Amino acid sequence: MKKIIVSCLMLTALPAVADVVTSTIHSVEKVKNNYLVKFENGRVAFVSNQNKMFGVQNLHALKGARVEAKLGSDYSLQSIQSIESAPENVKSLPSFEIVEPPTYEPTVIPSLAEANKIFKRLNPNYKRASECSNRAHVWASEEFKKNNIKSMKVFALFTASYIDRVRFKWWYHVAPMFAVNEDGRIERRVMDYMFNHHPVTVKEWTDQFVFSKRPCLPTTRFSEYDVNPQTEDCYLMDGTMYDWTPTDLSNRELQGRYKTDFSQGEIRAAYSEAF
Amino acid sequence: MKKINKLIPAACLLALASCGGSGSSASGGGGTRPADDPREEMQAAEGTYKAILRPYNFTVAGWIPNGMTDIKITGHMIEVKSWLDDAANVVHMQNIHLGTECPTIANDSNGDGFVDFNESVQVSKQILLHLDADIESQSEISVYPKGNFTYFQTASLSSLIPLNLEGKVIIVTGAAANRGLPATVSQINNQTREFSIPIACGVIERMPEIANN
Repeated sequence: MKKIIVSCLMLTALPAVADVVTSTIHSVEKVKNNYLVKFENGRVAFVSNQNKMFGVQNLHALKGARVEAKLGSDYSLQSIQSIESAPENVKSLPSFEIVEPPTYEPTVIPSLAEANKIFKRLNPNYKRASECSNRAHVWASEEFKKNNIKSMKVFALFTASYIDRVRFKWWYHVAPMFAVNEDGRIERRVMDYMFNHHPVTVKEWTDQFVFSKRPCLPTTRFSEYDVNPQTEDCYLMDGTMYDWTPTDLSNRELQGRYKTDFSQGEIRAAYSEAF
Repeated sequence: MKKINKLIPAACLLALASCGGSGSSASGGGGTRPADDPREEMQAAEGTYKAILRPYNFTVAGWIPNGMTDIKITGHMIEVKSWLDDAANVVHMQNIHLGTECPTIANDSNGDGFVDFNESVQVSKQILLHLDADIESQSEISVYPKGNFTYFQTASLSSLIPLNLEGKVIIVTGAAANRGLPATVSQINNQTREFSIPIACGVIERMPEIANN
C-alpha cells in the first residue's frame, strides 16, 4: 500500500531563487503600469512605474549594453549592472553580407514520417534553463551539417500588452521549422524538441505560449512588431536557419543585412550556452 | 517486495504537508483499473535512459513546465536524476508508469479541457515506480519534490520489482494550489485537484552507448 505525502523533498529541491539574466538589453518599453526590459536572450524583466530605484532614463541608456540583471520570482527587476561586452566568440560575426534579399529554399522533407524521424534525432542533451535561440540554432545547424537539410526558423514575438497581461517570461520564442510534403501539400512543421513530442503546426506551437489561443499575426517586418499598437498578442516571423535571434530579423529590414551562412562564433556560443 | 500498484490517501507527516483523509484505494488513484501487471515486467538492461518531460495541461501550470529525467542502470544499481522547471512552487508527484504513450488532449474523455489523472492513466497505465525520496524502499509513504526541483536517487535493483524501462512514461503532476480547477477534474484519492493534475510527461528512451563513457 502506498501513501502519498504532499510534501517537499527538502534535501534535493532547489529553493525558489531569483533568476539572473546575463544578456544585452534589446529595448525598454512602456506598457500600462510597467516598463518591460527586453533582453536579447528573450527574457523579460518588469519594472513598475512606481519603482523609484531604476530611473527610466538609466534603463534606456543601457540599451545595447551587456548587463547582469537579477529578477524576482515574479520577473520583477531587482538589480541591474552593466558588465563587459559580449564574449569573444560572439564578437566577430562574419556571416553578414549586404546584399539583395537572397533566395533561400528550405529542403522539402518528403513525408511527415520522415519529419518525425528528424525530430527524434534532434540533440536531446540540452542544458536546463538554456535559451531557445541557442537550442534552435544548434538543432538547425546539426541537421544541416549531418544531413544537409536546410530548415527555417519561426519566431513568435509576444507583444508588450500580452507580456504585461499574463506576466509572460519571454518576449520571443524561436524553434526550427521544416517544410514537409504531406500528401502533396507543402506544410510547415515546427520542431520544438523541448516542448513537443513530435513536429507540430505553427498554430499548435503558438497555442502553447499564447494562452488566449489567438493566432499570431504573420509579418515580414520586424518593425511591425516593434511599434505595434498592442492590439495583437503575438506576431510571427519566418527566418532562415542562419538567423539566430530577432536582431537578425531587424537587421534584414533596417540594414539590408541578410545572413547567408552559419557564423561559427554564433554556433560556438550557442553550444556553450545551451548544450 | 512491496506492492506499488495501489495508492492510498496521504498522511500528514511534515509541517509543510497537506493532508488527505481516507479515500478509495483504487489502482492508479481515483478508481482506474490496472491495465497491466508490473510483476510481468522484464529486468531492465544496463545502460542509460532519458525522458524529456514535456508539458501537457500546460495552461494549468504556473509556467510552461519542462524537464528531463536521466536514468542509469549499472550492475544491480539504478540511478535516477531529474529536474523540472515550473513557476508553481508546489509538490510535484513524479512516477514511472507502465504505459508507453504520453496522454494528449484527445484523452480528455469528459471534454472539460483537462486531461486529468484518471484520464491520463487510461493511456499511461498504472504506476510502476514512484520517483520519490526513497526509491529503494518504495515505502508506504512517498515524499515528492517541490517547485523547480533537482532530484537524485539511487537504489538497488534487487529491492525493486523487475523493471523494463524502455518505452515507459514518466508523469509529473502538480499545479498551483490557487489554480481553481473545475470539479470535473479527478483527484488522486483525497488530494486536491491541483495536486493531482498531470503537467508533464516523457517517454523513456534508451540512449546509445558512448565509448569510454
